[in-house]
Amino acid sequence: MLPVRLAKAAVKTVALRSGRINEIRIRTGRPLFVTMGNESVSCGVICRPDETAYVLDKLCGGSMYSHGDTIREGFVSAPGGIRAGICGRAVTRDGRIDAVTDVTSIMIRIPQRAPGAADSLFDLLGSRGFCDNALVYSLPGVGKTTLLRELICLLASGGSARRVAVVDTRFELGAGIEDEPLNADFLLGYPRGKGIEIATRTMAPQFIVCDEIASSDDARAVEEAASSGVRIIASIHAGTIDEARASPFASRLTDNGFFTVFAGLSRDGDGRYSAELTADP
Amino acid sequence: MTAVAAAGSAVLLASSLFLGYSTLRVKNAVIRNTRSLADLVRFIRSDITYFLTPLDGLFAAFADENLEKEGFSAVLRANGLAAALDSGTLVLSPGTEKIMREFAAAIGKGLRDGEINLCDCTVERLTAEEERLREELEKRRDVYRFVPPLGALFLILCLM
Repeated sequence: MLPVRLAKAAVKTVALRSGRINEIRIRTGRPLFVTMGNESVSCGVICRPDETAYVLDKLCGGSMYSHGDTIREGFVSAPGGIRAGICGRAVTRDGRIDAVTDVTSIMIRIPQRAPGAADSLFDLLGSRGFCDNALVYSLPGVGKTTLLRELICLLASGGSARRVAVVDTRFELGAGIEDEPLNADFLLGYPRGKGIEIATRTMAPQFIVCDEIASSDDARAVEEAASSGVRIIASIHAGTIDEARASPFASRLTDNGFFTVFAGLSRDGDGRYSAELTADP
Repeated sequence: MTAVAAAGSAVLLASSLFLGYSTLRVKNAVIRNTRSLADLVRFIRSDITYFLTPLDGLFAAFADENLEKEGFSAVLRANGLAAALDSGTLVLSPGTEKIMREFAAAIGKGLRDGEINLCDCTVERLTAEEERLREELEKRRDVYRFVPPLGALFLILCLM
């Protein structure tokens, strides 16, 4: 996916420091950066415009038009669960983004599996009879999606596998678990609110898992699904539980006691992350 | 000696007929291939309009008897359009080749509306090229048919 020159620089950087790459940041005219654990490390090479274009072309599989909708939303999903955030020059019409051209920054996030990461949350939900709606919160890049992915595996597998519908707007939640024998349905690329509505109406799930409640429509759809008896597990960008409760989109849900289990994620200096669980009575 | 001359004349005449026939066949193939490539671009346009299937999926799904027979489709499916054009499996006019190379270099690099415009423009150019080739063939059909045998006859007469 990377041009040879950038790939060599990244490999060299990783070889000098032990660890795994979580993110690769390509910015035209600026140094190549990799993120390992919590640390951003410069690889010491300046990215050329043709290299940025090459990476974008590879991410799109040579068919940029098939990623038009997500490019307008600021990301591209590539095979293998790789998601790349992109930005450049937006072409707008009537206040909405019509196209993005001259892409100058690409941030490739490499999906991680973290077996065991969701065990404590799963156990807590289980101890309460799987009757709670749960909200996972953390700052961006800490591991909400990874935790949700592992939780999907725990909920939807085993002898008493629950029916799980995964509303995977950004093609991330299902990454790396395609081959798992799960009792789960994946709604890939659906707008979150619509996906939740469709899953509730047509797939009869016990749980709906979705990433990042980010609009009042999402919050409304979550509420409607829950009123149908479906349990919701979602995530939100927030540094603390108070921030999560005060979030403009989730506050309506937290204020009325909709979410009763909260999992706050944080990373230590070595990049290992821990979950702080809070359960309302 | 007369028998040898007669045999030589017959060979010369047959060769000239074959040359004319082959030329006509190649010219027809060039037109047929241009039409098939225009169909390919129309197919790409239609799919992009409604389904946004990535190019490799489009190439795998496209079926054209002529391109299949010529071996172009196999390379197209395996290595993409640019490689298929490079493979030399199709006889193309310089005009068609230029249009298709420009198309191959640009397709997949833009968003939906831009790609649809690119396809429309390419189909238009290919159609015009096909029309031009057809007219040219009509004009020269008799030349291809009669000039080689007449030339052969003239040569035979000169040698006699």
